[in-house]
Amino acid sequence: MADGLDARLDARLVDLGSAIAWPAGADLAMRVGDRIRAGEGRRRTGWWPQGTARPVRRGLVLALAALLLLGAAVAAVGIILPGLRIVFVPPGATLGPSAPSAPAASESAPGWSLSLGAAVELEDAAASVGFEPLLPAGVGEPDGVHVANERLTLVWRSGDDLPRTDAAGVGLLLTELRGRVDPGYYEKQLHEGRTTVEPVDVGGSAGYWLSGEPHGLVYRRADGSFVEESRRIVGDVLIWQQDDLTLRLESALGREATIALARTVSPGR
Amino acid sequence: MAYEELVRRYQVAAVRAAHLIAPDGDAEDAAQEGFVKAWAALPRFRTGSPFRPWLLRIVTNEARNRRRSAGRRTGLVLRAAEDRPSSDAAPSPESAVLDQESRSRLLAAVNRLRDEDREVIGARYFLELSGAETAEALGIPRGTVKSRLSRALGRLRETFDGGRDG
Repeated sequence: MADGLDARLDARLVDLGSAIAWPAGADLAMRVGDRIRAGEGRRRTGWWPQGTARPVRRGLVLALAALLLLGAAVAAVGIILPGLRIVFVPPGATLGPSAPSAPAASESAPGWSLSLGAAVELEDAAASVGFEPLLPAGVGEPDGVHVANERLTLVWRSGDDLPRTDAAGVGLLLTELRGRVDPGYYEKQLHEGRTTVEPVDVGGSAGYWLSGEPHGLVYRRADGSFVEESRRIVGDVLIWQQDDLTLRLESALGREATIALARTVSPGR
Repeated sequence: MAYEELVRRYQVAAVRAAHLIAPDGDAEDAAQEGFVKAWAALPRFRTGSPFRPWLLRIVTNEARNRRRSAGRRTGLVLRAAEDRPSSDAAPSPESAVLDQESRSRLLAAVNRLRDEDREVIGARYFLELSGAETAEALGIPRGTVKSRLSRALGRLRETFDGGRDG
């Protein structure tokens, strides 16, 4: 009898839960997002490891902060949660697409749907972003060169040598920002789930190989505010530093081939 | 924004948890604050572990800070019967005979429980957290969850002993 009573009480309590007047729970997402973008939620201490000089000169400091695994299925609802990545960016950097008035890539250009930024000629890119573009070897000239604020993106069409990424017609994306990967900051490696981050060496520089299914990249400024990478990430990502640039290579080539390609990246002729 | 997506997925649970801890407080405010603090604390989050109870721990702490220390407490209340959405869970034989009055009686008994007992009841039945998740969300040992649940269910059972719908 006790069991029957317990089962009934159990069922009644579950039923009661749905009958309670819970607060409306209006959309918190936007309010939380606004507060985070405004710089709240930044730690007062500890983002920077002891002994690391705070970046005060011009030039970016990029550090891979953490990777949060949210890939566990929510059993009751069956939703797979997105992954979240956090990276630091320097003050003043904006990573959004260029202003609406800038010329958009034509529909035939690879990656046209990704809002990479204004299309420019390779020889004009340096003047726009303030640094000389670096290029990988063995893949030929880029099929598109785009500038969005301080971000340079080079795009190569998919083809025999470059398997297709998640974006139609796109085989390779190289994003360049004036910045520096901070190897002193800790990163977390996932041991399960749909996204992983792995520290790798790219020609002596600290780099990170991110694979799986990212939902987006979020960059954090040194002043604590956040900016989200507005462009959809289309493949596995290798992030590393070269000179005073931070580079991001997106491809479907796989870890070894991408790292090998990254090692060839150097100033253009 | 990626984190906004996360907030959207957990905001209902967060608001419920905050309201459970502090029915007289501003649950939405506590939940909002909890999400912002969770963002800042993400580097401390142990990847691979479940996110929800970790988040709810932060939210319930915020709610506790907002709990009124004195004065009469209202406690949890029922929605008016006509407010119940038609998409409620399929009725079971038990809920078919339940009515607003018996729900009121049960809720009154829940409200009479000690805070700490009501919280585990709420976590288990209203938030549908597992025992392990409840322990983490409320910041108590697993064994404590068990003993409080047992005690609370015993109290609630007394409400129905010898009652008409016992």
